[in-house]
Amino acid sequence: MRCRQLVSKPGAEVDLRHVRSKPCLYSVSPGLRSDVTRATLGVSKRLLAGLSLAFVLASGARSSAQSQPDEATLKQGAAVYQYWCATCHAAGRGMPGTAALAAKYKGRQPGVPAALDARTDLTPQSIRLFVRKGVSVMAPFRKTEISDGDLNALVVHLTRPRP
Amino acid sequence: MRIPPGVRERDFAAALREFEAVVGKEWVFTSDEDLDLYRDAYSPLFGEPEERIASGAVAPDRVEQVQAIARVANKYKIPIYPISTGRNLGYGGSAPNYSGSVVLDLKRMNRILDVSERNASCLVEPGVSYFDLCRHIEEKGLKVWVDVPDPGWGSLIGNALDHGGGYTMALYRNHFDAHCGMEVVLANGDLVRTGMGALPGAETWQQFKYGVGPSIDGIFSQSNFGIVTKMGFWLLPEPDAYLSGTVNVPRYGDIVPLVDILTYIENAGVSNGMPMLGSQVLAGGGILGGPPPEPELAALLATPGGPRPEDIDAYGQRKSIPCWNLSLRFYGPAKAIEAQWEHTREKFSSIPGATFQPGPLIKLPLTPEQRERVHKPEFGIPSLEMFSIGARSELNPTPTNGHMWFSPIIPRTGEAVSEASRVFRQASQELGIPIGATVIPTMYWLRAFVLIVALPITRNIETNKKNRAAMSRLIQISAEHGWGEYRTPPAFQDAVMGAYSFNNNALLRLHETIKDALDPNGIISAGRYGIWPKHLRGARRS
Repeated sequence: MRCRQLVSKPGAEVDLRHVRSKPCLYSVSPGLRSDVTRATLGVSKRLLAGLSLAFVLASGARSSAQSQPDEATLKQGAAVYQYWCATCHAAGRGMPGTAALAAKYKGRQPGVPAALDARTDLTPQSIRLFVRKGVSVMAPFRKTEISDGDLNALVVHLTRPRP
Repeated sequence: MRIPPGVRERDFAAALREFEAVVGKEWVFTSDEDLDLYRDAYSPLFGEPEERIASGAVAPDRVEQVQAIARVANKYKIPIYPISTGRNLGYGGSAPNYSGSVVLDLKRMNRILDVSERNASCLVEPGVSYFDLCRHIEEKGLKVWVDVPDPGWGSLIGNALDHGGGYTMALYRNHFDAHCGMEVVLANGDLVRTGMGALPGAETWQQFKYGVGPSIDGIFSQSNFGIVTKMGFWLLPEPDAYLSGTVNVPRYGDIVPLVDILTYIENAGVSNGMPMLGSQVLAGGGILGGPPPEPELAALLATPGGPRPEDIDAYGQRKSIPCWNLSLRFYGPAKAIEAQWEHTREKFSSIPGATFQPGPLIKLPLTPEQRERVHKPEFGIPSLEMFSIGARSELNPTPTNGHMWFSPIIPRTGEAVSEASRVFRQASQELGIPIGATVIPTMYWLRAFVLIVALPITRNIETNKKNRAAMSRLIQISAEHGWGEYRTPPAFQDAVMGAYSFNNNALLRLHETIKDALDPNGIISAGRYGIWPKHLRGARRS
């Protein structure tokens, strides 16, 4: 077995360390909670570039995921979506993920729905990337949370053929 | 493959094989790809050599496996770091305090062992989240509420052990106080149950906390003395109704009687919900985001040295805006809470110019439509709405990568609110971070205020360094005023614990004595809340 002594390895595959940012500090008063949002950091151009690339690379893989998903996997994927994603990405108020995507696509890609489950443009690779790498304030999900099997089922669910 | 510092390669390899024999190969993680999932995405050290990262992860699904893992870790002196759901974001996430530790990921231990409507209590494992328990209660149609913190995906056990708080009735808001009974795996693999759980055959584990002898549960919170594998909690019987009402007082100086009367109202049991303080004058726009203040107010708030009370009062009078708004909440029978609100109004009427706005009386349970409109945690409904902090939105086009919390305890007086505002306003100028004209305390607990201030986490090392320096200075400034943090991310736990320094750090020395007795090889969560095992102590304490 080849080993190396651990010093500390950042190991980020998406290197965001040179992104310009501006500092901010905000305090939380529960009475004013709904107002708590403030610009703090320019989103990584490299991350966006990386994700765009992922979308492009993924486009070819989409058709295979769409072909005849089996019922059990679809059901499992829908359950994973409900459990892990819908709490932040469902339609309606109080959903930071949905609000973030609404703001992201507003004016740029007006046809893209903000609620994740309504999207038909998601690719397997982009779903895997966001689940395992996280984005912005969404931390990645461990395999004890979303196992590889669950992630595969989630991909099938989110890329399922729509009527 | 990563290996823990100070551990021989062949010992680590042997330990991993034994971990695999305990939990199965599938649940031992050693690849960089898998271990990167254990990085704290909100780490203020993200991407720097000092970032605390894991050398492995092992995920048991039952207590016997936790015991076996502790024995293996002891045999090979492998540092391990238990996490429950690993979602303590802003206070450490799923990464260890001590780089190179093997994360003991308890997420798979997610059994809801008991929910008793009759006793209004539950018994759960560490992997059970607030969402899990609330879904279970809803599915079973039980008439009990769980007091939930802001992010609902956290663990009941993890949140309580890190001294988290929630939003419903005072009796349940302090999550550690609301626990009743624990099961703990010690470093040597022994299994202990506290309180009535120590008495075979007792049916009162979730009814009476103490059993007999020293109450020992507290030493397992914010510490590294054992691995908590079960905890009981008291639940809130679903109330009949909910009422909120707001007290407005006109002048800046009114904060002093406002807080004194509030303290009486709460300690006397007149108002049992969580109060929330706001100020349309001092907290509008600015630090809390939202629309910027209008030019006259912006100029007032930008007064060098801070706005003077008389100028604040004159502004409020001209604009007919009261300086402070205190929102109160009541849970109970409709007739009783309406009478409590009436009594509350009478008490606050002693402040000249006080006005009152009654909120609607809501009969419970909520209708599905009401559920979508309310602030969910006040009704025991878990949510992730809190993550709107820093997330992209229409008002925030440039999202953060997370946040870390600065959260000092200050006295529960109006004078302390004014003094903390003055001190942190000055600090914000010194450190170049916008805190604003005043700090608004959060009121989880009956007897003290806590300020909860978020500093952003970015993927820019220089920005993170600057914010870390600001955090360290804020901790120092707080300590100089007798204010100490109630909770802090791992990167600051030595500094915060160091501020609790009475009698040459007697409290930390006591923690170390306990550590050495319970965990002589120092395998569990080295460095958690400043408690280092003997072999790492010298370097860390200096």
